[in-house]
Amino acid sequence: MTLARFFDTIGPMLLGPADAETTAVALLGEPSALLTERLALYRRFCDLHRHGTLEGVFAETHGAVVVTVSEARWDKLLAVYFEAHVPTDWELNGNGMRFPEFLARSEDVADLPRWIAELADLEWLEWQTHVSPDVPSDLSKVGPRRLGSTVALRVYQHALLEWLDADTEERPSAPRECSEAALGGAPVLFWRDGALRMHRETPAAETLVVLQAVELGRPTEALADALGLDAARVRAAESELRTCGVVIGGT
Amino acid sequence: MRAQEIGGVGVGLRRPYATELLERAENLAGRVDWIEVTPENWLRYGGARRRLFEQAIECFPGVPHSVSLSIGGTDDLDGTLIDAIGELCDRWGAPWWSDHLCYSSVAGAQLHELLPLPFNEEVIEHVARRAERVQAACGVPLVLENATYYAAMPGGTMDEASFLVGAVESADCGLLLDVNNVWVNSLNHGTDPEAFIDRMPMDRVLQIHVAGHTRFDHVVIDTHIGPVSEPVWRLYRRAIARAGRFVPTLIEWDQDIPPLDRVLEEVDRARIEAGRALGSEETP
Repeated sequence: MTLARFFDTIGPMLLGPADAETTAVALLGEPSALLTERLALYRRFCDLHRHGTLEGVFAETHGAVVVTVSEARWDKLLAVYFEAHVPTDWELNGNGMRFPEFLARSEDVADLPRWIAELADLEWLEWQTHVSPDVPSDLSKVGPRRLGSTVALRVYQHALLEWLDADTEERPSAPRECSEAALGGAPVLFWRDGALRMHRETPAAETLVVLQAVELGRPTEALADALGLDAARVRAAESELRTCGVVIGGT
Repeated sequence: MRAQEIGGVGVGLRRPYATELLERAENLAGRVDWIEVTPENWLRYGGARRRLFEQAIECFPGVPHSVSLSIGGTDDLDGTLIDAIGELCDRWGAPWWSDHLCYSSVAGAQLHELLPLPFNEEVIEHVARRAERVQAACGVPLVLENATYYAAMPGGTMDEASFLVGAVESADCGLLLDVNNVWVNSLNHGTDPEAFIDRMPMDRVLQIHVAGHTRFDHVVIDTHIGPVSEPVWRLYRRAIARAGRFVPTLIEWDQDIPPLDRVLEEVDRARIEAGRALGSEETP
């Protein structure tokens, strides 16, 4: 057997679709029970790594799928995801990058509640906020006013933070839907502070105005005026955002 | 940076005790001589993890020990990994880096598992060609580790020792001799672990691993859990005695990781066992 044929034969088992029995027969014709058993072991190891790829970063999403549907549904979800998005990254967690998008768009997940895709997006952003590469300009107070490189703002249709931060004993089976809110949902602000701690919280209206002003390159007070917000409170919000590293420069 | 000397006993940089290791680094001088880092677990990150990693490579000399090279695979070698490791070696002054004589990707997919190759000449030649390309691209010597195998793969025409020696000699690579893997393979396949050690080209052995393993009903798994077993220490002494020198030795305790002090007991034990092997009751 050539090396190329060896990999062609064993690959489908290691990637999940083929079972050990079929693979053992394809490799050896009449394999021993021991070989089949040990091939099954390798198949199991590879499967565990695929699970580990998603169950670390997306621990809450995993739990939500299991509670809402079943562990078997989660297993199937993983198989379909990795078939669609081959794990090419040598950094294990990096292979989960497209999981939130997959949950949001794939026809294979139409049976799952929509908030589960939002939860996966939130968990991915938490992870990215924690480990995204350092950007030297984050440490420099000079230069134009800007947002820190780890700052991200998402608006979800469900009150995910309220749900995640609830006592697990009292947590409802699903987060509250909040699409009627003024902003069209529940905003969540993510950032990493100067001490390299990850934060995610619901931003106040004043905070959102500051973020918008920075993004648009407009004076904060002018935007606050236009939106009818108290200028002093908006100034205080900007000062606090500078302290915690969300807004940088421009002074 | 000029390559640093690696000698004595080291530990893997593991997150459960990494902060404590750095806090105690000054007091551990002469006890923890170097560290081994798994680049896949550190290089891509920023933030607190990056800061910890940078402090670690500042405090200790050491070497990268990767798990994703897939030297025996047929997928393209991943230039991003090789470049990242080369840059790390250069910055850290690592004298070599290591990975495993195995494959870990197939059909373009990373499997994150160290998988056994068929033991034959075709694979030896294949590994040698790829190792040459890796070493040319990275600019730092590649050292290959003997891996565990729970099943001999079809197409094998030789035993594991012949395959391993053939591969490192054809590839002109150093050898990372994992003594626990020798023991685990002997238990799973009924081979003679002492004869295996005796066949190793000790002049190529740049590093040794010792670790714990776990016995299940029908198989022994290289889990890196628990202390090093007595049979593995016996094999370790045999390897050191054959080498006639204190080969840099790493304690691998990678799952169910205990407090640092427990890992340090294994570090101390390695030093004592190496001393016994070299005919000295004194610490080598």
